[in-house]
Amino acid sequence: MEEAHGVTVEAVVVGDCPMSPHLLAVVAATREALVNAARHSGVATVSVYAEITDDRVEVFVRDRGKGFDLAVVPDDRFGVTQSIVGRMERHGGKAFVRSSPGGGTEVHVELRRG
Amino acid sequence: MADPSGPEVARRLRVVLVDDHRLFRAGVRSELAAAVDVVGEAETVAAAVVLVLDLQPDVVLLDVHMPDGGGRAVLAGVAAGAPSTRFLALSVSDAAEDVIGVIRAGARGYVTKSISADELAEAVVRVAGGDAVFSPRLAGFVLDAFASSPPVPDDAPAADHADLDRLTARERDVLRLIARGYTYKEVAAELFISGRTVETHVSSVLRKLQLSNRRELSRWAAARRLV
Repeated sequence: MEEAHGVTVEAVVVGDCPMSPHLLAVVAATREALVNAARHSGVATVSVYAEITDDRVEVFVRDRGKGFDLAVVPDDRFGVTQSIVGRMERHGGKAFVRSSPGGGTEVHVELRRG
Repeated sequence: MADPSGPEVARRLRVVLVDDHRLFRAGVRSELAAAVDVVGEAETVAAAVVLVLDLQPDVVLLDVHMPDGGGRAVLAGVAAGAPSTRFLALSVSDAAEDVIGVIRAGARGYVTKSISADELAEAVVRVAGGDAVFSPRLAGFVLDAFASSPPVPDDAPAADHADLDRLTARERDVLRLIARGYTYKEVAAELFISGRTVETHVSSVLRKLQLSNRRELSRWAAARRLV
């Protein structure tokens, strides 16, 4: 990821658990959020925080880049946002995107376990 | 107790760099030159101890890993010999055990070498003022270390607050945001609390890390070693 897109990924992981098909969706959504941040944020560092507890897995992908207005999402952003949200919903999870022009972007992916 | 921190401090902070890579020290020195006075450099534990005792700097930027023992050995060597000097660990090290070890030996914070020059200068000022500096990674380590213990209710009686093996729910909230890459200022805005309150929570977590009787910490460290 870092090499392909020229960004530094600051990853922090709390907890651990065995892999499952639903978790693969979390990984894929995280990956997509990272690529999105690398392509559009305009900054060189992206933070990833993953927390695994007994009942859920949460991942936050955050950049301090240029952000965008969620009300007027450009088509390319809309596509990615929708695919992350859609992917998580198909696997029984949720995804939220927070962004504002100049305020960076944070994608929050959540999946209940068990 | 602590000097008033912040940009209004008239006197420039005196900083010592301890790292076994000369090129890295040179880089940090030039990056920090505008903000602080780098008054000395050392590349071995022995030299660092002598230098810190001699110069009594405000802040020591301390490498966690060095061939002859690293940050912990410097802290142990200086011991009580530089009572007003504060230590900030600066490293690429990923090993949780080492990072927690240097904090427990007395460092006031831990930042990774990917930190920007501005953030590093800010961290030095914060540590000099007696506050704690938690990078996302340190926040993650702490959350991990305390994960198995239930949170202390925020409104628990004072006696329970003294429980050093557990975090309060609020401390957890603050650490999670720091782990997500939020600055202290952003944490304050997100939780509708003052920047000062964020500092208080972080300092309280640092105290627990340093003073906890380690029931949770040692269990966690042991589990980590097995991985």
